[in-house]
Amino acid sequence: MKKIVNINLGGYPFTIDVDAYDKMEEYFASLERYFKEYDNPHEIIFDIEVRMAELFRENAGEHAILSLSDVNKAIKILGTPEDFSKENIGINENDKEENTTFDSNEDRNRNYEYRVGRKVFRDPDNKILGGVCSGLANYLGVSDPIWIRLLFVVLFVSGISPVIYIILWIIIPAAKTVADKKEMKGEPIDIETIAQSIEDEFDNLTDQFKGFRDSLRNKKRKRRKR
Amino acid sequence: MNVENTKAQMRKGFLEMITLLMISNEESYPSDMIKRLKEKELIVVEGTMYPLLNRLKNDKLLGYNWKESTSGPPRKYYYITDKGKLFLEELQKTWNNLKNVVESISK
Repeated sequence: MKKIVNINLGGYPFTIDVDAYDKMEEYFASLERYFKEYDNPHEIIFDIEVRMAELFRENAGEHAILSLSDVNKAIKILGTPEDFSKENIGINENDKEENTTFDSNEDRNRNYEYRVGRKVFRDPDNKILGGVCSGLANYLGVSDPIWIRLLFVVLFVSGISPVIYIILWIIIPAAKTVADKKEMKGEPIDIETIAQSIEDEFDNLTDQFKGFRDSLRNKKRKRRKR
Repeated sequence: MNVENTKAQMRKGFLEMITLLMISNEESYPSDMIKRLKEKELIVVEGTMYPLLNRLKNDKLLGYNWKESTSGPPRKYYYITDKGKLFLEELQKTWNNLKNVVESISK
């Protein structure tokens, strides 16, 4: 059983699995970053969006529910920012640097691996109430959110209304996507790092599972991998 | 020295000319052009076509019209402008020159 989403992609309606939708969102976000310096980034991205819709209709039929593998296939055909910089095609001539040397390939790569600096998000992975404190800790670079939490407790005790926490809860958005979480921690966002973090999470899970299994098998030897 | 890089560089200039050439023959819908270019292995990923078309349009070498389509929303059909025609002529001169040089040297 899976959740589905209805979307309008380039003027065509589609029904799509939630994980496939997330992947698509990430993809278009990466395009947005890559084409940021072009003259009409939104026009280019919309053209690609329309093309993606056509690919879906050609391959998956008109009324199918799109899965992650449909999306991955389409992305492979359309190409990621990494592919574009490898091809060196369509680079804006109005750009300051002429992209004629091989070395500048690396500069291109840096384009879509942009560093946003940090953005405040609530951290849903590490929350007690709304994740405000852990979010602030991430933003301020405090390694353990306990210090921010203590600070809030001290503030409340010393007479400042807890309403301030509620307000922060309301105005700070939660970090929903992988990209949000990267931005929250000030890590560079590109498809590769996102894929890496998903892998890490998966490894983490398998490790936890192994640890659990081992501890069942051998009670004397307590083994916990993290 | 990476051969893929050199090949990509060669394709880049060439693709511009081929795109203009295809559009100068008839008003073209990008998806149809992409199909032909992929058959000829001139493009690897489709997404590279759109920034190229966009740039040619911004430089006023191309323009486009919206045309109704039977199967979905209206489509962009690109046409070549007078400026584009002149540009293409120049490119073709260079291309012919290059071709002659390659032919005469590789004998």
